[in-house]
Amino acid sequence: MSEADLILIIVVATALIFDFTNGFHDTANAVATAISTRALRPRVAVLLAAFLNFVGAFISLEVAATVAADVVNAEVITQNVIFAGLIGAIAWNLITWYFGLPSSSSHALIGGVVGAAFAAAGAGAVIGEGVVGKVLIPALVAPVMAFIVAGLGIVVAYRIVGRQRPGPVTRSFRLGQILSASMFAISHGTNDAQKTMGIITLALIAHGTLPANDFEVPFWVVVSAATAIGLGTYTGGWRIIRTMGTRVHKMDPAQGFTAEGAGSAVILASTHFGFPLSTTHVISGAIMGSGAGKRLSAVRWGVAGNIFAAWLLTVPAAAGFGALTYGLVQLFGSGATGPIVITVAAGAAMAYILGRRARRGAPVPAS
Amino acid sequence: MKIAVLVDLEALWEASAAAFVAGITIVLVFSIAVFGVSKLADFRRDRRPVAATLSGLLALAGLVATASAIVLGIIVMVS
Repeated sequence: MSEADLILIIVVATALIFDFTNGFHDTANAVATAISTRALRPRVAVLLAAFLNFVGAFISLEVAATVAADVVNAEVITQNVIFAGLIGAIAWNLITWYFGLPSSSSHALIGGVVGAAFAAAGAGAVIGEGVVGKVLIPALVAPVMAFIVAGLGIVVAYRIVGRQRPGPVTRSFRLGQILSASMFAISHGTNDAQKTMGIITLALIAHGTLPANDFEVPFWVVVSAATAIGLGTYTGGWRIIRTMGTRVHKMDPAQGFTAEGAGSAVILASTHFGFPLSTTHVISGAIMGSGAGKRLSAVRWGVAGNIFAAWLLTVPAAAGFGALTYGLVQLFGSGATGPIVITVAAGAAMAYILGRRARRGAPVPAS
Repeated sequence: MKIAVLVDLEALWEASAAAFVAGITIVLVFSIAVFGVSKLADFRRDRRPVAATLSGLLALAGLVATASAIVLGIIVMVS
């Protein structure tokens, strides 16, 4: 096994761990409203979300293509750059989690890779049009769109069923939530698993396994990313079930259905055009919209502020960590030593931080 | 550089329009189905079979439209 092969294995494993944590962290997005309105029993909701996240990963490859080809210049990217980007993203996620700051795993991943690429090969390595046009602007537009669609949607729903007896309406929308939660789980798997697929594809290009100009995402990459996000969703779900009562604000089944329906529509439409989004931001926007449609004062403007702050901060901060990690990796040369040392150090740091946090109590959850 | 140069406005517009139409349509047709179900229960209780049948058909149409919209959305995604 050559050094390049060893680095590839480390990068693929790191990317899949990132994908697992993404599913672990974001399970609540798909199942929270369905569980809180008792549309689904927690055990069933988590199993359904895990399975549909897995299925969703197979639906499209547009986002994977964007991450692999439109964010950084694949021809000048090395495997160490991708490794540094992943570690930068994980570091930023861990720090924001520790301090309870809002963050987006998706934006952190792209920011980390962009920062590492910039540190390695200068501005020429970053495709500015791709970062702004395909990542930053859609990331800002999508939650606003979800807010508008969910807000108008709940007005439409209340207009139609508002004068009906609440019993049958509530029961029907609860059943509808099984459908809408399923759609949201599929859309989550579709958009988020593809980011990991894109990163692994980029690593394969840097390794020389795939050509830079004309590539296809290998099937084993799709299967492994789908499995990682599905397993992460299943594992993370049990933690969410325990804290469900305190984390989700009260909403009726019609609001839950509308929020999930609007969120799914925004994510699936964006995925079709290859826009990598933060699914957390989209569902937060949709939940706020469904609340605002019922009563404007129900909007949690603090959450809106958190989303904006995360949008503003995450990409540059993760980019800084990606660049810093690349600098550290390069201290050990361009071989496998740097990634091995950093992996061991990062693992030790994570164990220390998680242990310390476990002793001090759970953090405020990052969005 | 102008933002319009950096952003593929056409794709962004199409994605936003598709999300808007799909999101509102799903909620609209499912709400019609819920309305039909609610009315069906009321009319059956009041022993009005014709009105109950019509409400049932409305509910069925709403459900079929909801399912069709979802299937269409997935077909568009896969294509």
